[in-house]
Amino acid sequence: MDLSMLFQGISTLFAVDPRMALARILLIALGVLLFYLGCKHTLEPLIMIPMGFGMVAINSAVLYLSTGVMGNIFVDPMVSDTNALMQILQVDFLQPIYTFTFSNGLIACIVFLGIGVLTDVGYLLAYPFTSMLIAFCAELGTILTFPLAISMGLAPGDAAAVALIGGADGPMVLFASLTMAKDLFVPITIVAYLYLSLTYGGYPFLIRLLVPKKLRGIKPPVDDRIASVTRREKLVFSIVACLVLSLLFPVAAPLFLSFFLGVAIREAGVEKYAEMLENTFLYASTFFLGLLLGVLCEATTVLNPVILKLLVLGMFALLISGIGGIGGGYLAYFISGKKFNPVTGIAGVSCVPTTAKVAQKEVTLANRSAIILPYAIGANVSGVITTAILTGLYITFLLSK
Amino acid sequence: MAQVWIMTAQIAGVAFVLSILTAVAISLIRTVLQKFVRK
Repeated sequence: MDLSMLFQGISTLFAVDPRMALARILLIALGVLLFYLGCKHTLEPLIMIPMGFGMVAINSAVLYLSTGVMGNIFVDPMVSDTNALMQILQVDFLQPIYTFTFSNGLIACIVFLGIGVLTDVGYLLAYPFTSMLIAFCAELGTILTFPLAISMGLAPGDAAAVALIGGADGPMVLFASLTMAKDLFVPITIVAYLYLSLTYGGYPFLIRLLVPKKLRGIKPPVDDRIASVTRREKLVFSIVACLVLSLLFPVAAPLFLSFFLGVAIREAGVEKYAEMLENTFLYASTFFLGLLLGVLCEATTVLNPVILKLLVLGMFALLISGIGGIGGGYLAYFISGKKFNPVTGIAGVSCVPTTAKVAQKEVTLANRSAIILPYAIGANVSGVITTAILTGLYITFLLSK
Repeated sequence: MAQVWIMTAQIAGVAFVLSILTAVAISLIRTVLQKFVRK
């Protein structure tokens, strides 16, 4: 009996180009590392644990398919022929989830529904101008990465999708890259989620670098504006925002619908739906998002020379957005007569609610009695809206060219 | 490349205007609801 055919995961390592074999081994190691960092809560465990497992499994389980070609029985993201797809749907166990929820953006919309249910727009309604100003400034990376990516040789659609990493909104990057960068959506989304997991560890250093301790401890004035926002106002805002943004950017309407419907369900007090979306749909879709991202991390993906550019551009986008957000915080600080805490600006980077939590944590370290969370959540929610606006603008501008 | 910069500036400009308009719309919605609906 041919032992190499018995243990195909191992034998296929020796049957390919050594670079490919090395990439497989490195990805297995990276998968273990992500799993470990997820378990330690250094990186986001909800994404990193299934993603790490997926990476380990997909790079171990390479086998000879019936056609004699090497592959796996997890998922085939490149299949386009209808007959082949029908066959693969019956063999590859994750193919139905990939085809029916991932590649059409449904999973991103379900995550957005869940985020909508978790989001209290009251903070945004209480401080609309400050929140939107900060959020716009925190899109600096999303704006500046686009020309940089083009100058590095990326196609406009790919450049826009990678620039949106600066918005720090995972589902939005997934949706945008599926629409504008179909060939690169796997590496772009993976880079986005990897970096988004790092914001919790990286942004505190940026805050300490750009905001002196004295300013970090500023206690914002207490007012009752948040308490004055009624449920009715939030409901009217959710339907009007969905209507207007969908009218302006039909291409991004699935995201607007999902987010604002989630907000409306929360505010209308439909608890059964809210529980279902928050506890079942959101976590189930996040789990499968992580797992699918992991199994899409095949060796061929990392050997794509464009991945290095994406890593650099993703880092640049998030760094510049963080700087822009703090810049927005300083702008609000001066406009308010030096009463506003500039650290709040980092929350304009819309990684809900991570950046708001990071901002409050850093402020608490400087002054235990300073509470900026309401302002930070307002900026955070506004960040989701400005990122959605930019996604709509990029798609509209590029598709009309 | 100049064309790319022009397009970037256009996108940034429209995004800025829409952000401010969103804030204005929120203020308007709140004013209208507080003045006419609450009573």
